[in-house]
Amino acid sequence: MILMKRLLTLVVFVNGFLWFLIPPVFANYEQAYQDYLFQFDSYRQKYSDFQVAKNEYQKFKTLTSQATALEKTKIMMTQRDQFLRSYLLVLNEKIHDANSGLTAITSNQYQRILGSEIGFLESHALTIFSIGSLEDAQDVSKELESHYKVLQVSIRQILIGLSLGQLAIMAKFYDALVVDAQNLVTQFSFTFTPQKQETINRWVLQIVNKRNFYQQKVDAIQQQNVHLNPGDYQDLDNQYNAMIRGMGEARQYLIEGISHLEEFRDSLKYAN
Amino acid sequence: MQINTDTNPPILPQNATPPVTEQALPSTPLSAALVPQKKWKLVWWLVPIGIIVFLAAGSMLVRTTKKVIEQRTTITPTPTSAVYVVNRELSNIATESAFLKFETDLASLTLGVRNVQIQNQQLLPPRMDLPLGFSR
Repeated sequence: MILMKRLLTLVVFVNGFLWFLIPPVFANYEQAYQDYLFQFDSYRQKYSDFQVAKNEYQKFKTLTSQATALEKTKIMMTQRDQFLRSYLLVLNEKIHDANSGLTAITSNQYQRILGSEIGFLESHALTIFSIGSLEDAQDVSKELESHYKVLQVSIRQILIGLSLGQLAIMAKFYDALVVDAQNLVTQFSFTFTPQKQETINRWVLQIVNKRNFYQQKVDAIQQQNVHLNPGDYQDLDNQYNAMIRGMGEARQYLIEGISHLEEFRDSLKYAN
Repeated sequence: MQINTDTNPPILPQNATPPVTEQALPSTPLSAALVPQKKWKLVWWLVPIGIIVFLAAGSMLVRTTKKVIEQRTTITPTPTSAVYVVNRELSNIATESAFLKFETDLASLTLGVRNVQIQNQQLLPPRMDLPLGFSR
């Protein structure tokens, strides 16, 4: 009975490990995200089983509880790497999205980063397979723990990059509208009174100014993102949140520029 | 017995002090009946009575004000007057195709910028507790 149980556990572990080695192919971001949610649920379940086995071993310290704790630990660690990997694959799909707003250079850079991190997790999973004791498990887990900060920095850099990409799409649209606006002014300037021309010129100036303020804010965030090097996790969160707030301010500049565009539109639309 | 019929006041010696004559108080109804100690006792009783009267008047005023406010809030709404719309004359440009396209694009951009997600909630990184916690 015990032998059957151990055999079943080994089959489950090896199966999970083999699935880890096979790279999943997703038709789109939604599929990758659904897989991530599935891996998350599986990880939570296995982590819960690991905690129960760990508590039992720490309470009773028997050989049986130790063996069970070791099995559950290995299963959990494998699933943990699988779960992290699935999250990185979600990011990968987002980077590949045609509407990501990323430049080709940035997109390639992020793909290289993700490829490196996924490679680390895959090689880490190989070491889990050879764990023979709880001490080995601690050592293997420490490899991930020591690398985790680097992984988190990379993730946040990519997230900031993706958000900047979305803003870049809006800014591009904004620029196209400014060109259209200037063309309209050029085309119909002969119909404007001097006062109206002056009003329109003032609005165009304001529209361009807001765009410049937006660009200054975005450039500052990009610089900070490229050189993201936090001291600890709290520092990482603080810097990340500061960049998020900065992007909110950049978006606000675009919104203000748009309101000026609306005033400009009304200046053209109405005779008085 | 000899009666002094001399109406003139007696002549005092040079170093004598003149006599103190008490002037009579004007007779009022209260002062004629009161001495200073009794007056203070009546004032002492008036203070708390005055405070009570003041508080009662204040609470009545507050209640009246509340009633007025409640009445005001329960007033049924009445139809408002029509909104005054400024009729602005359209310019010649307003019907041009280039301007209409500009107007449509501007509306799309407005919607797009307001809906852009600075932080995609689906992509928030998972928070994990990594150390296994086995004591050596």
